Amino acid sequence: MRNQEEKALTAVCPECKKGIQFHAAPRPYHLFLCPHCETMLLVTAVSPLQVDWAFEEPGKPIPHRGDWRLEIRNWGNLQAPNL
Amino acid sequence: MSISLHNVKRKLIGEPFPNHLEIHERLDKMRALAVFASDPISSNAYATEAIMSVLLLIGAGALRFTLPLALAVAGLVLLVIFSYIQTILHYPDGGGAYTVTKDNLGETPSLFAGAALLTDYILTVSVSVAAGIRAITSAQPMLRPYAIPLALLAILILTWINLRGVRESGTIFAIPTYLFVVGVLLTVFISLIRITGFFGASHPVPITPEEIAGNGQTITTFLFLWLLLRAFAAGTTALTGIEAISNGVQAFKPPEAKNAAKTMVIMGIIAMSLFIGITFVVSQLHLIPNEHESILSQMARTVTNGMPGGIILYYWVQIFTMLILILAANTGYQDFPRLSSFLAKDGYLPRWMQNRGDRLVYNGGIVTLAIIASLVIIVFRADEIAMLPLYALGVMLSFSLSQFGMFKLMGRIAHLKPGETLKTHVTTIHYEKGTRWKRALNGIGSAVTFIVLLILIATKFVEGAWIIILAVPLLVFAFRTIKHHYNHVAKDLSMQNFDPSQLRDIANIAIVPISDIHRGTSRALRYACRLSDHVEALYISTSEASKKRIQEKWARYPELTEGVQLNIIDYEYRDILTPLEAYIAYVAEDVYPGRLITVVIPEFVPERFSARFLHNQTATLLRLRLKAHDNVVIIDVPYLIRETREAGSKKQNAEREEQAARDNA
Repeated sequence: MRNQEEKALTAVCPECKKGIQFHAAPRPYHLFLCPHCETMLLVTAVSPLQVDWAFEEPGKPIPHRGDWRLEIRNWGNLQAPNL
Repeated sequence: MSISLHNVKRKLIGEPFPNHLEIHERLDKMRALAVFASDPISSNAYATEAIMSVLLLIGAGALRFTLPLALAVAGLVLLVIFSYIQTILHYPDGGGAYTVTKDNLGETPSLFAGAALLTDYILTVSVSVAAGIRAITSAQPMLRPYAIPLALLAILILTWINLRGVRESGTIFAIPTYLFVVGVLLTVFISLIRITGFFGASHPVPITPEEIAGNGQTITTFLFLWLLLRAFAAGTTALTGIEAISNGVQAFKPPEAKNAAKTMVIMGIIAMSLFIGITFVVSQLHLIPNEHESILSQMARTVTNGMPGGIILYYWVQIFTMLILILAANTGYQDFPRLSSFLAKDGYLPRWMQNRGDRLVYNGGIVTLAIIASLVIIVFRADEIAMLPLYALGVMLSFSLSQFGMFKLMGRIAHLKPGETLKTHVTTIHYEKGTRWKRALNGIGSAVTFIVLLILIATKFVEGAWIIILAVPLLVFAFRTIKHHYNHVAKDLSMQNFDPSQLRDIANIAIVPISDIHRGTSRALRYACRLSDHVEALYISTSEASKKRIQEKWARYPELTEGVQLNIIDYEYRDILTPLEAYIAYVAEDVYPGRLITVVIPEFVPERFSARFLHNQTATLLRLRLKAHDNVVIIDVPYLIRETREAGSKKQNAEREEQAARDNA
């Protein structure tokens, strides 16, 4: 019985693929950090318990470092659009 | 009612006025006098003293020249008032010295007149507020360290009242203005009765000339004449603000020009009655300026001394002198925004300065004036004595130019025959009688004010007048630069010789910068797919983990991502805007040169305004950067984040969320 309850309160981190054990049923759309890899996660479903990456949003960008025209030449992996 | 910026603004400023209420917001003569004449009327608090302070340099005996010099100043005031009445009647749309000079002397002199007046209005606010605060800190010395914050607070209050509308500010400012006039006139009247001994009144106890110690020095005739001229120039501070009405003719109720001219006459009568009245009484009582007590205070104290209820009249004069000194700033608040709107209309100041705000006042001008006047207060540490040398120069330059303009206009009118009319650039002139003597008066007024200007420059140059001599041409240069910009924009946007084939072709590409796959970005991707066959999602990967994550998420929604190219740029630094801009610019300039490319920017917008500051920093900055690229079209695709609070209780919301999560699962 206890094992079943524990299983119901366990989810897998999509980032590190490790199990995350909850002590109580989390609220849906609850944001939390994975205890293993510290990735921000979101409870997407409660029964069965599922978690996913939370939305990504870059913070305030730091200032421009230099001339991007020089840097672009170094981008070997650039996939330019097909004409 | 929730607290929002909009609600706060409504509470502070009031409900917006519709355009048709513009006529209702106009001023009757009573309010207009208080609104426009606070500066020239308040000048009486110090104009007589200004003359006497210079005469004292010659010696106590020279104080006998105070009244003749005051009469000369009053004569000049009458000349200037006469000239401005002519200005009002011939230029009923307002604009004062700027418009007259533009119409008769050309662009450059008009810009000098405008720049000179704007600088003087700024100083009117700074000097008046600083003088008023000095009066307060003199009464309460413990407040002296807080002079700057107090002055800034006074500017804030004046700005607030003015933003509420012309009529409302007129009503508020009318009370102290009229109470000052009544108080001083009453004091002068009682003085005259006591001096002449009418009704058996006792003569006030005067200070006899014998008690005044002369400086014992003999001075040359040249120096004597120079000091007389300086005293006269000092007395011309009584002229500041006289032109205010001519700028704001359209603020009057119809018939605008007639009402404005009448108000100008009433203002002249009141201001000169006070000026000559105070000077006469002060001369009769042989009062002498000193550092500790103003001449007006000495006069009121001497006259009311030993009189039943005299102490009340004395404090009345003192309190309302202090108030009117602060309220003189209102002349600046009335005319700076109006004059800026005229300059903005002609393209010499930013266009937004010509727009009226919610309460039908020129918000842009009012706020700009408040900011610059506050900076002046801070720079001069709220010390009006330090600011005074800068004051009155601008007004005198504009008087001289304006009267010379009217001199030329009268010359043009003189050439008209009865029944003839002539359209100038700004107004329509008709045949009229008496142009010769009107022209002569304008000519004399222009010459005298120009001489006064030269004296002011010569006597105050080192003390700070050089700042104005430098600032005015710099302002004119700024006006010309702004105009040049607007001309350039107009030329660039002109449809003259337009050929549709010159329009750029639109490249078949839409780039969608993404930071993740979520409802916001999916909407932008779907939108981009409707715009172009070639859609690229652009992702800047700063780590292997983030790259893996986006690839995995991308693969999860094939119905959304099918046919869309996911372009991942590996980048080892944190300034992700650089590669975003670099790639977009590369596509725009190197891959599709000469064609327009489309960038679709996903943006999620929280419903609550305050929460918006928590998001979209990158999107906002990217948009700003991309605007510098000529052939990049930016499209925002907003995704509104709805707040659930108002829809029900927390419990209900939680249940709803739970249900939604189950459904998703």
